[in-house]
Amino acid sequence: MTNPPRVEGAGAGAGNGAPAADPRGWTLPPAVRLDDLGPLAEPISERNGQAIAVRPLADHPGWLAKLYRPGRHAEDAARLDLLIAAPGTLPEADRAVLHAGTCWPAARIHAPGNPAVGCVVPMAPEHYRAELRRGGFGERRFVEIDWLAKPDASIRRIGLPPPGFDGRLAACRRLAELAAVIADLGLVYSDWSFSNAFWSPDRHSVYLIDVDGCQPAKMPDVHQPNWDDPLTPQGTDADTYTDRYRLGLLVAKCMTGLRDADAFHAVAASPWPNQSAVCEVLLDTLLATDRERRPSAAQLHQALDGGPYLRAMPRPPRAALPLLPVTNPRPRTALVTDPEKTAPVAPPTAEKKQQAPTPSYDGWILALVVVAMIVIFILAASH
Amino acid sequence: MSVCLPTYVVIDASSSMKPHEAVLNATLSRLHYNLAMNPRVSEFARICVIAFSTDVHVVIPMSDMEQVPAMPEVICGGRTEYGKTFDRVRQCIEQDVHELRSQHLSVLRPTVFFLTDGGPTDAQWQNSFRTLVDRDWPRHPHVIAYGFGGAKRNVLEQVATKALFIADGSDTESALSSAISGLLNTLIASSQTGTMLIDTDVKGFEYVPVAQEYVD
Repeated sequence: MTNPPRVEGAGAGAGNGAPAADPRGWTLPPAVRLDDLGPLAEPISERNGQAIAVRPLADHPGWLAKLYRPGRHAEDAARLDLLIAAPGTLPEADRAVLHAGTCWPAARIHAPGNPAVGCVVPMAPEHYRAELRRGGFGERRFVEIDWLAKPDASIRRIGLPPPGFDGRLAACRRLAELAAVIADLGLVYSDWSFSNAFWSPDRHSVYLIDVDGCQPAKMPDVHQPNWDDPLTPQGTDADTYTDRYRLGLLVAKCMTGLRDADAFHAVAASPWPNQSAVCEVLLDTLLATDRERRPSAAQLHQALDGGPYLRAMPRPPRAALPLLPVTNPRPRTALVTDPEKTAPVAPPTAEKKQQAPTPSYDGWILALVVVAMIVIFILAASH
Repeated sequence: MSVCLPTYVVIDASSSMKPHEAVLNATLSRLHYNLAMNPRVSEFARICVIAFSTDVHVVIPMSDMEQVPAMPEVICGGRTEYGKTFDRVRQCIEQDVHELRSQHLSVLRPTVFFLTDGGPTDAQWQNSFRTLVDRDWPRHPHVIAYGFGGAKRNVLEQVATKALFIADGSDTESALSSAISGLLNTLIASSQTGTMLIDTDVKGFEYVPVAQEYVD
């Protein structure tokens, strides 16, 4: 078993057929045999999405072999090759953004009879891990961007530093910047969601994973609950306009720390006076009734960076904001404490949103009124 | 509109569980931790925890577990009354689905995870169960049952409408822990697709396909 040639410190874009240097520390040829990668460690993930397993390369710390489910076709190999070559077509600054903020594939893995066994990707940097604590439990793990879409109080509760407005803005700016680079490459990601990006609470940066699924121009829509684009009908492909919607949704949630209709309404309230263009970009992205009028990721990035929003006129018509949840004043079910119980349950330490039902006196008052009226009637009749 | 799955974790807290009380509570705490640490799962799978014995106790009303600071302690004792439990679950479903809908959530068919280590001590439980899973009731739930210890297979075969798991003889504490892991994996997988995806590979349990499945 021979490891692929290790080219460290070489200049970028050799241009002589040799692999371009990868700033992530290990430069591979664009296609490698599985046998050439050396021993694979135990999987860190299995049967997740398009991958049958993700296994660290034992001889190359910080790198992973993402192994696809069987049955991938030659077209997939061509697509992977396109992705692997893509950073080389970018200006240096954009290439640096892509490499720092995504697990962009470094090489296609092939085997006899299978041109797309998988790909080599870098592991997310260590600063995307943190100790998450709750109750008596705690563990060090990658922090999914799911958490940035929660209020600061929730983030504080698991032992992470709350991002505040500045931290949210910085992370969202990075997110939009990455999306703009991917869009500039003519690629569709589609898989924008809470589980496909990590967030660094200390550095306020983000890191996209599963980007090896990107496809040029359009791709089968990756369905995830609560991320459906209302203007991309089920069964149709996702395209750059779908990406714009999902990016806008993710940014709206992360900027506000709210979800669902609450996030839409919070954006509509224009709470960021120094970033006033952000609200307009997000509202056009989320509510435009013409999907092709959704602002681009670059426009969103510019607005998040304190810049203007140059909107084509006339303004795109917008759909109505989604309905806000109804606040239910009715007390919820109280903890049952039957006096005859033989299996007591200790009082919950949960935040009690509910109260024990109070006894109703309405029936008694009605009965007294009726009795009083009867007495008055009898007294009146007897006189 | 967001999708949510009303989930009922119904746990046997009868006297036969008394020796395993510490493990039961540790397992519930682990369930809480794992859900509270995954906001997208806890928002999708709204959880109600119910402990039953001679009576039925709503340990945690329908909640996003991320909002619940800690799991209360369950103290075991008493008989294993199925009937009251099914009645109570039905009441909870009726109320919870109403409340979830008022939050403009798309509510999936509720799912009951029924964990028991014993057979019913009440004779008339079938009537309550039939009312719970009556297909004419639009909110009737799926029931996924996990039986271990002294659980009666023939009884649980009547209770499970979606899937049945019977412990293969491992001790009650391991079985309880595995059952909760299976439950968690089911919720995580379901949250990724927005549909019920049952983890059938539960360590220490035999998966028994349910022959007569209710139509959604």
